[in-house]
Amino acid sequence: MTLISTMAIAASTLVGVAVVASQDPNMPTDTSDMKAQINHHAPDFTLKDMKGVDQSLGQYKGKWVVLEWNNKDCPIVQRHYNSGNMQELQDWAVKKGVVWLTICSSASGKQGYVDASGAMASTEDVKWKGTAYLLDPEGKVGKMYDAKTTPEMFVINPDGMLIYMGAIDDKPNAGTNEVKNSRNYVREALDLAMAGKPLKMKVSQPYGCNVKY
Amino acid sequence: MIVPIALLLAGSQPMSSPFDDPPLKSVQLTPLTRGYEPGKLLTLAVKITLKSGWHTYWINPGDSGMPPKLNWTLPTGWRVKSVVWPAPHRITADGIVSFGYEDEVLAKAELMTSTNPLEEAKIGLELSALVCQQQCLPASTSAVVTISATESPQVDGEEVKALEAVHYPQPLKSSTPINVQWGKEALLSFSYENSSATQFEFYPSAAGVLNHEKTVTKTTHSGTQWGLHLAISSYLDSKPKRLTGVLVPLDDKGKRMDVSFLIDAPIK
Repeated sequence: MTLISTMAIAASTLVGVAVVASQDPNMPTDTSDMKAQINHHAPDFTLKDMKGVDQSLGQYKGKWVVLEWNNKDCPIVQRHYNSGNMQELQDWAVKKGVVWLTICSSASGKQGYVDASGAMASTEDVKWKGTAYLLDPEGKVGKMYDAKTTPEMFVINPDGMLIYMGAIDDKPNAGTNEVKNSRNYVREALDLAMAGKPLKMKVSQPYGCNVKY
Repeated sequence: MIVPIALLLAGSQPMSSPFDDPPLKSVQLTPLTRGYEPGKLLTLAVKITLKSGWHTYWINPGDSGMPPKLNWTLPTGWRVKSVVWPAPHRITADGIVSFGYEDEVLAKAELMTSTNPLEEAKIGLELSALVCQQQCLPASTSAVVTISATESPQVDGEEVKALEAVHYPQPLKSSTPINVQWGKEALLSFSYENSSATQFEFYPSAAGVLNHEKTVTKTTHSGTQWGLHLAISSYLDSKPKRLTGVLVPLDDKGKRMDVSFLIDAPIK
């Protein structure tokens, strides 16, 4: 038994993280040491969501996927939720068939940490509209994607390639009321890529609170 | 007409914080002169005070954080010419490197006044900032100061001394052209004659250009000619035309020297 599969079995008994080898023959067999890079295969992972269901990136091959790093108590995250900006974007994307995975990598005891029930309560509170809310309290997937801030966004195409990573928009210090007037890089990336057009912005420096690993 | 000089420094008003003891304690505006000369520059000290152990961010906050937002309310015809910040510090939290200031920071603002002499020119500043310790909080605070027109403004020696002690970044007087060669890394070349310097920190003033976690990967020098190898950001989309930032020399003990330099160099 490989270390990876041992880890997967051990971790599957926990509510938390399991970083597993991909089952897809077109994907690298062991992505646990991979780091996300633009225009490369997005590293696969499996995390429990807030409902206790395993969610892996690999299972969504063939679909557009957005990863959103979240810390419900980060004021910059709150700016995007209090203004309704994030939920509107989630709703718009999900209705286009995009899989929206919100990930929390705050460690236990740190700002924004949620367990399954905490995540259920906070997502209901803000009327979150993503596909699944994933729990990453050990920060393994956060570090795999080198997520530094909340929010921080990644867009993955149906071939599993990472096509956008970085900030949600171009306004690091917009007020809550100004958020909707910003250039939203995620909406732009999805709009262009889904229309088969080249992206104007593939990477940008993310902004927000540091991820509370 | 010469009017009596009236100077009023209003207490700042912390807002939007759920804390009784807010982490963003105050912003204070203090003109460097008693009175101002219409049509000339007026310099003010902008002092931001945080609760001990908290930090806030530079104009490029690094890998997390938010740049400060300054909203000025000025008399008609006045404008902000510049706001100069001291060289920031590297602040590491949860392994993520940010650029900013702990506890307090003293910035310097230059306002261009109008030629119309005002008996009571009211200058207002609202500061919005992200302040962090273990957690991050948005905070805003404001200050108002009034100042009168005069033909011969008197210098406030205490404030001038306070600003002089900050050692704001100055243009680097390099005897050779300052330039940047762009490849897998960026190589910043310049001459610097202070023999106490053994290495340098570099703070890029724009986000997403250089790697913030490990900015300077290698320092080489031959006599007074220095080369800094700078790691390029993985978030950089296309090669920039210029590199701007602040260079801070370190002594042989790795301690920051009391100088810092503005770099604005073309990229080859």
